[in-house]
Amino acid sequence: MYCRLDRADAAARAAMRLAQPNFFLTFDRLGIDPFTQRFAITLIAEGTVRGTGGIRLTGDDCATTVPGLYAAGDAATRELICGGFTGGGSHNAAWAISSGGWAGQAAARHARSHSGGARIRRTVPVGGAGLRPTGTPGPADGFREVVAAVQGEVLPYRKNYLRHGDGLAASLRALDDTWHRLRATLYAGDGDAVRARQAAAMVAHARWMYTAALARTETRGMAKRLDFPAQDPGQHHRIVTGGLDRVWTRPEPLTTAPREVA
Amino acid sequence: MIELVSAERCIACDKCVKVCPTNVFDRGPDGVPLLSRREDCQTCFQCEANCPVDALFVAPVTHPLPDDRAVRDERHLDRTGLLGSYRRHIGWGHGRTPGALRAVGPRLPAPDGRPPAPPITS
Ligand SMILES: Cc1cc2nc3c(=O)[nH]c(=O)nc-3n(C[C@H](O)[C@H](O)[C@H](O)COP(=O)(O)OP(=O)(O)OC[C@H]3O[C@@H](n4cnc5c(N)ncnc54)[C@H](O)[C@@H]3O)c2cc1C
Ligand code: SF4
Ligand code: SF4
Repeated sequence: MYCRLDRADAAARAAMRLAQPNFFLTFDRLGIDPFTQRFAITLIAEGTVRGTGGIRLTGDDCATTVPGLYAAGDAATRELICGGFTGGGSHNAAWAISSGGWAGQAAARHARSHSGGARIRRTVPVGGAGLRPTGTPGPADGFREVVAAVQGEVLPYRKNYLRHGDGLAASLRALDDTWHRLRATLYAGDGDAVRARQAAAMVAHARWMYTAALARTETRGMAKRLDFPAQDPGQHHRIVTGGLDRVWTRPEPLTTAPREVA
Repeated sequence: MIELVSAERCIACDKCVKVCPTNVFDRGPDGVPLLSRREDCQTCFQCEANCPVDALFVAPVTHPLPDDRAVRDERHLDRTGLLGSYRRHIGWGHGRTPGALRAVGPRLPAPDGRPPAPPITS
């Protein structure tokens, strides 16, 4: 598919260049004038970058269900500010800055409430997947295989974009297998501990994503199902998901339900 | 993808090592960054934008280019004005006006209540 920005007049062209120099960088380096020449476009999976999901917040101070853990920016859910729609195009950056301020204040308050005791508390490492395998550790670069396995289920448009219950269930089975294998074997030692942990997080995330998608048997906002193309008024709620070895979902009612637009 | 690290220009400030979101660089023995995890490069241009001496060049494609390509030829990149061009465009660097100050935002509604023209940013 080809595209050309042929409806921008001279003033718009100049303004666009000033507003989005990043966008034009690629064209300039490839020697393409996007206003007069056609260029090929494709779909790219952005994951949660412009999405709405993220760590569930339980209060205005960005608290989470873990005491002392405050989430902000892309890590935190953006459903609170944009509902079932994308956080891309201004919401995300504004949210990152605002929520960062709130979460930071709350974290500081929390730390101060320990009044000197925080540093002498006994801490216990709790990370499992990718750090402390339950079985015999696999090869140090095992994270590569794990990442490839997630990509195989998450990147193809036919699985993740054109979503259908059967496809989601099949992907979920593959991802569950990957999870149980990595739980037993994934270990990269000190050098690549972060990469192993990231790989494990990608699998956990993909399983939450598809489990939640299966639980929403309708099409609403950005959550689209080919097998349920219509919106169901009975599902006007959020879906909360979690769990590692066993993934769960539950509906979360809206506290302030917006009135139906007539 | 990151294609060029100019040992000649580099002042070993470690900025690129720090800003790269996917941790592509390691500081080399002489301070010049090494492309230790080049395959992780996501072509975000952040290293190039942050390099104070225009020692880096990121090609506008997401895969490595063959060895003989002009994107690794520092003199060619310099001559054609490509080296440091991103930094110049966004107005980063001493004595430049940051692009953010020159950018034009979406128009606000007119006082008479007429709707504004649709914004032209994303
Ligand atoms: C291509 C693109 C275009 C976008 N366009 C827009 C737009 O037009 N408007 C808009 O509002 N938003 C836009 N966004 C979204 C916006 O940029 C993000 O929502 C925002 O930057 C998120 O900020 P953050 O601080 O939450 O996360 P980030 O900026 O991602 O910061 C997270 C930081 O944590 C670091 N980190 C990760 N793991 C670890 C670790 N283990 N230890 C230590 N550090 C770690 C990372 O290196 C990173 O620096 C866009 C995003 C992308 C990718
Ligand atoms: S372009 Fe981005 S990802 Fe690639 S090396 Fe530079 S900073 Fe890292
Ligand atoms: S930012 Fe530029 S000068 Fe600094 S270490 Fe990297 S390449 Fe060298």
